[in-house]
Amino acid sequence: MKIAFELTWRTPLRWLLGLLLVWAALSKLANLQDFYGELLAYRLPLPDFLLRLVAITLPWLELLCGLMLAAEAWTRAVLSWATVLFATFSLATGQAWLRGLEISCGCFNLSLLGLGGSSVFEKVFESVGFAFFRALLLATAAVYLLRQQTTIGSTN
Amino acid sequence: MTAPSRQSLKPSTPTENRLWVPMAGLLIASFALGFAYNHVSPLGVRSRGAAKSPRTEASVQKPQKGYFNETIAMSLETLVASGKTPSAGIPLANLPPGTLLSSQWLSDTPVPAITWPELKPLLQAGKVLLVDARPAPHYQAEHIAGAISLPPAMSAAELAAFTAKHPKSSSMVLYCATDECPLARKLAGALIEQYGYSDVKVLAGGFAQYRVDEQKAAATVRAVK
Repeated sequence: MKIAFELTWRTPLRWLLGLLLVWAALSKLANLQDFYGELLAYRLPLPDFLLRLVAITLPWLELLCGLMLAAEAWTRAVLSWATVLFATFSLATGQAWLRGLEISCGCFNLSLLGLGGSSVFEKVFESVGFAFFRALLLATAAVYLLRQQTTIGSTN
Repeated sequence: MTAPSRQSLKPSTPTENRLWVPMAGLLIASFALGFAYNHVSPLGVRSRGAAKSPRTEASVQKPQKGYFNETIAMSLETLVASGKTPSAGIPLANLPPGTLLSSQWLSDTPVPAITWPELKPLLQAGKVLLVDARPAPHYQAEHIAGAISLPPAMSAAELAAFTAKHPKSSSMVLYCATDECPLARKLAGALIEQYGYSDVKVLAGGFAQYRVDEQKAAATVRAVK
């Protein structure tokens, strides 16, 4: 009964994480230069070339992870990367929130859903505090799925 | 029927245990795709422009401390919500000198647009002032040559200094990241409504469209040669 319950929840959760990763990736790929600017706004203590590298490769890593998560391919590796990504993002947004930096999250482009400009949704969605808690929640979900995957194996 | 034990369901093949192999594969694929896409995309990450520090009309932007920006912005927004100010916000000139502006305070006046091919010769002739309305880090990453920075985090004093320096008859064009970004349009509206500027436009498509247009122009030049 417990295993059936977990199996029922794992698949939709996996698809949700995959969808979010794909959406985040497409938002960044639409304008890489803008994403690089948003990375600079976090004022991370990293050299510029590393920030450029992140701006260039991170969206593709997200996209590949999102697609493979939905397709249930290399699930352990993908979930490991998802955990790393969400945990890192939690740290970045957390430090930006603590320092009171005025930044856009740069994660999700609501105009892809027809919600953009000065809509209320964007204001809430793009706030750094919301981004921090969202990243924490997603990291927790990824860790949960990874633990389940490690325990039961990639049989489904 | 008992549930299978966790121990018996553990993956046992060597391939499954080598987690780092698929992880490394994903990372390498991301590098390859990332650099290829960045090379062909007109909106890819490019080398930094010549200006490494923002060319602003006021003092250098000070490092933000603690909750300063959010606290000020929230208190100003509370004032607006309480109905103690006009719907268009307190006139910028009446704000205390240290007040930080929130984009919500700026106008929604419709502003005419100009395309980059139309703007470029005017800019080269020095007939128009180009203003970058994006946050300072975006300006530092890359900006249109000749543009000055008026970021959303600027103070009322900085905006007042800018307007004192440039007469009301000045031709200005403001731009933001894309058309979806409201910063340029709102700042332009405020300059028209509250500071009396008559010739203010926004760049159609923003910085993104500028990059696309410039890449097309460069491709045309190469094709002709």
